[in-house]
Amino acid sequence: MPFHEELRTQTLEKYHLTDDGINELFDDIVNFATEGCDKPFAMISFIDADKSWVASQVGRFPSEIERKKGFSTLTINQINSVEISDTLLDNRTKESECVVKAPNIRYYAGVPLVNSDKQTFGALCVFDTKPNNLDKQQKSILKLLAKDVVSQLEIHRKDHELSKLKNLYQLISENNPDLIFAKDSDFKIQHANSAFLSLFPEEARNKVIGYTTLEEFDDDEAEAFLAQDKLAFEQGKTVTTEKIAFPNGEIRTLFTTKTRFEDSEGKAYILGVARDVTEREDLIQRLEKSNSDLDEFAYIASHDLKAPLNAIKRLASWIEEDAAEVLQGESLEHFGMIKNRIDRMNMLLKDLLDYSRVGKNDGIPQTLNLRESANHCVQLLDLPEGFVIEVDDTDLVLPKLPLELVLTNLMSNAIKHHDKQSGLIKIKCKLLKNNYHLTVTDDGPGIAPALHEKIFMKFQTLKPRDEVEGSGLGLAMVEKALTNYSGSISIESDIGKGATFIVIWPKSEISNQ
Amino acid sequence: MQQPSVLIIDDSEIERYMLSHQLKKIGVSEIVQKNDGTSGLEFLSNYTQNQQQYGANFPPAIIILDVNMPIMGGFEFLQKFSELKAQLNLDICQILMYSGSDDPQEKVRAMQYEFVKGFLIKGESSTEDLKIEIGVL
Repeated sequence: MPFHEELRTQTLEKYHLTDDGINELFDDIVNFATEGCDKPFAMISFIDADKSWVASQVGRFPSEIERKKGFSTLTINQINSVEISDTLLDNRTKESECVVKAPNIRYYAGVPLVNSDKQTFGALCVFDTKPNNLDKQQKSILKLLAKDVVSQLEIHRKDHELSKLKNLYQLISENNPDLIFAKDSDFKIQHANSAFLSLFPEEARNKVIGYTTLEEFDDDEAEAFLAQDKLAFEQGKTVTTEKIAFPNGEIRTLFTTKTRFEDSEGKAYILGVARDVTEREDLIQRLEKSNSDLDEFAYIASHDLKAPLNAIKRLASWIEEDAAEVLQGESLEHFGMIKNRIDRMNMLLKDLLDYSRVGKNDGIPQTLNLRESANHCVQLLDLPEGFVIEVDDTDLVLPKLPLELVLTNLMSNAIKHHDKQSGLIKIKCKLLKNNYHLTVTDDGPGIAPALHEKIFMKFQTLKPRDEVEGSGLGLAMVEKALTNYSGSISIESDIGKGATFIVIWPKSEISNQ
Repeated sequence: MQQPSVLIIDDSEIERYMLSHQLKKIGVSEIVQKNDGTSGLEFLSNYTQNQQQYGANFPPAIIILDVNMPIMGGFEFLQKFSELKAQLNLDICQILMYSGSDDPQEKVRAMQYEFVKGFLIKGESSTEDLKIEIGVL
């Protein structure tokens, strides 16, 4: 069989043959077929899985011929033309309805309509009520006309696809919250979506397409647009973030990309896509301000508290010296307590100050050896005898200060909270695909899982201040430093099992500077 | 040996008090206190009158200068002082910075002036330190 039912149905759908007005497409062709072939009847019929129907005809036929009895099925089942000079002499047709009844067809010639997939989906036929034939030229005409039908259908199909695409594109463009526009080389707007148009007052919207609209803006803004447009034409692309006062009175911050493109005739345009980032920029600015305010506050507060505290400390020690002979017993103890509290407050202020400085002047990433870095930190730690620190000999690319801050705090905690006279701290590093996986493991008393969350909070200490000196800012500082690099810290520990702090630190590139 | 005279410029009363106390302990008794850069500068500018009043103790051999002060801070004072030096004979004056901050940048910046001889950090400098600094000058 030269055709496949399913494919044929698809073909008919593909050509949108049920569209209104499709028949008019073919009227000229069938008219010309009757004339060119000198026969009184002509028709174009299509067939799908269930039925065949006539798209255009000259002469009277039932508008829908039942397929099984249909004449055109003769041709539709073929890939070649069919000619029956006398239908009463041909077994295929002698009992057909339109042969035995009106209009009593006696002659039939049909050319199949074949698409580019070699599927026959219809036929162009001519008929006569007396036995007849087609001469060579008439046969050529009929074949040519059949080809024309297929071409018309192809064009129809492409039109359909184009308009579908156009509708979809329009829907996307109109519903896109970004401002989309295209300008020609005279800086006149050739296209603008609704988001763009909405920034003009309603009465001015019909004066956007075809205009530069520059007169609607302040001079310096208009100049800036023009400069960007020119640059985009020259360089092919520009990206800017700009604050613009629009003709409708709104002031928005836009992130705009302008890209040059050329149409099929080589004429240059720029396509502008502008995203409204007003809220985002505003938030970023406010966030930056409040962050710096907070840091500044912490800095000034701790700084200004330090001076009077130092004065108190000094004055107290002078009194202690001057009154050494008088001070005894409880008074002496009270003096010790005062000095102790002053020291504690001093440490708290120092840590607060350090905390507020975390993330500032961190320096650029550089190649660092983990063992060397850890050793450098240990020197500042006052490592008690009996404690051993084992460190992997691994090279890392990280900023120096934050790495040392993290190592110092984790090691110092491990030592400070250790319950034995001796201990082992292991610092290991695994290189993951995108991250460094650093672990600091101790063999100290461990921390109950219920407390794991608490230890990262500011001013949290797990032991009374009198037992272990600490401001409770150490781990908070570590976490703050890591957050700056999109890293993280977590803990695995239980009572009696030591503790492992796990630091995930995203790898960084060595800066060129 | 005659003890040098000292001008203290600091906006904090307690700091001035404590400095005077420490200075007296190491035998410095000629002390003038000013609470900001402007009044300190004024004191130095008032050259003839002060020379009559203080005699050999003017201009002061040592100026102990706070960094962080309202109106005119320590660094502005240093600049103005170097300008004043071109007009008046202040060669004898040597400056000791007295800062509440341990920012090393601050020290570097101050030590660029040849008349700045030292950098003390508040609360961390003992009477002994002060004695050494002044003795060296």
